[in-house]
Amino acid sequence: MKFKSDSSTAADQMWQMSCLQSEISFACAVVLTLFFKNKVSGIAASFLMMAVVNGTSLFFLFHNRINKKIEVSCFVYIANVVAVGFGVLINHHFWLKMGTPFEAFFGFKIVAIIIALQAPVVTWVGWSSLIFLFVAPLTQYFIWSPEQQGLLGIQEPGFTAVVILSCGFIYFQRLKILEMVKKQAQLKASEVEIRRFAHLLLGAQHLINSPLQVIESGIDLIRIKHPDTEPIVKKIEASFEPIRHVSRLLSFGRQHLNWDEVNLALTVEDLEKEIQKISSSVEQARPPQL
Amino acid sequence: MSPTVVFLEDNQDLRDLLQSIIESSLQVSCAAYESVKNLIANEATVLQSRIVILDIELGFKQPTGIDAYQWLIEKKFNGHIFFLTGHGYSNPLVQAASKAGVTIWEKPISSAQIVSNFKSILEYGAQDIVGAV
Repeated sequence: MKFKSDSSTAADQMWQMSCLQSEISFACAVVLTLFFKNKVSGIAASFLMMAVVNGTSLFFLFHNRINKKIEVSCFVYIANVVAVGFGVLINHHFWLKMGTPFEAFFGFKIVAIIIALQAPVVTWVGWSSLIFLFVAPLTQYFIWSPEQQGLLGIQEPGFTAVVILSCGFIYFQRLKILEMVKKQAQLKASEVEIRRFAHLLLGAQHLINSPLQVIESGIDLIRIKHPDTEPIVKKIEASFEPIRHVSRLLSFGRQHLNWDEVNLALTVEDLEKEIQKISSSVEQARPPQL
Repeated sequence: MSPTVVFLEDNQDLRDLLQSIIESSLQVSCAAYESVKNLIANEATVLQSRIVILDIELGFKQPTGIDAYQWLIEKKFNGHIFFLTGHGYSNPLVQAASKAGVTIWEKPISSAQIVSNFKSILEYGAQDIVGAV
């Protein structure tokens, strides 16, 4: 089953991950069920149970393909992990019953490695899956009688525990790297926006500097031609001073300008268009409500 | 007779005001042009003046004050050049001109400062102009 999505939101990623996991688990469970069908019926039944859960997961995901509710994808992901875990626990029970030597908790290790490398974007899903994979085999091991425990290799259950703890460490590191990459991307994006904003302010300054100079020179000319207006001119100048200061402040970003690419607004209409562009990109950058 | 001061400025109101201020304060003649094309068309007049003030942005896709500055250098203009700019102060070409001794003023600047600098040049031929703002 292939469901493609171009969007890269957390909900989309979680949905795609759950789909991939369900598809692989379902295919493996079906093959193993068929393989053990005529050999060990109990083991075949455990894989059949896995196939049913994984198949049901696919059914839920298919119905969730439009809205892609993240809760459904998370639930399905954990359900698949638990189904695989219980499938392994059940077939271990039958292997022990038969007294046949077998490789213990192999499925748990494989699933833990996949989770560590696949790193679900919703962290509580990854951690709760790994905790389940750590607790379940140890619980089963300590439920077994000493004779049954003796059928396993001397390294168990320690080896399984160490592998799953190592997977937890890998997962932790991956989350840290993902967080760093995300922060870097956010920093880069905000730098671009700040640069754009500085550019906008500089455009505004460009548009008002000549009119301000006209006012400034006009006041000076009035003073020269009509010396009796001095008291009024002083008042106008006092009010003009903060405007002059604000105009200088608008150019704070000019040291970051690339003069080869600079294309400042030459009219108020151009400036208005620029403001609308920034306004709509700020609107688009708003994080989705999950 | 050639004007003493030449303005290159695309804003007509500003051209008129600056011209009036300089003429009434310093009793010298001024000429003002709105584009680099007009400035070059009056080459003889411009090159004989003592002071040239250049605005940088002169309209959409129009040659800038920097082009005018380069033209003046090519023509070996030996008067004083000033940039009167709103935002072009950090432009590398303007910065290079500043290092070469050109004074850069940022709009808005008081006319008193302009007049006082011009007075120094005209009276004493001062080379050290204080006032890169």
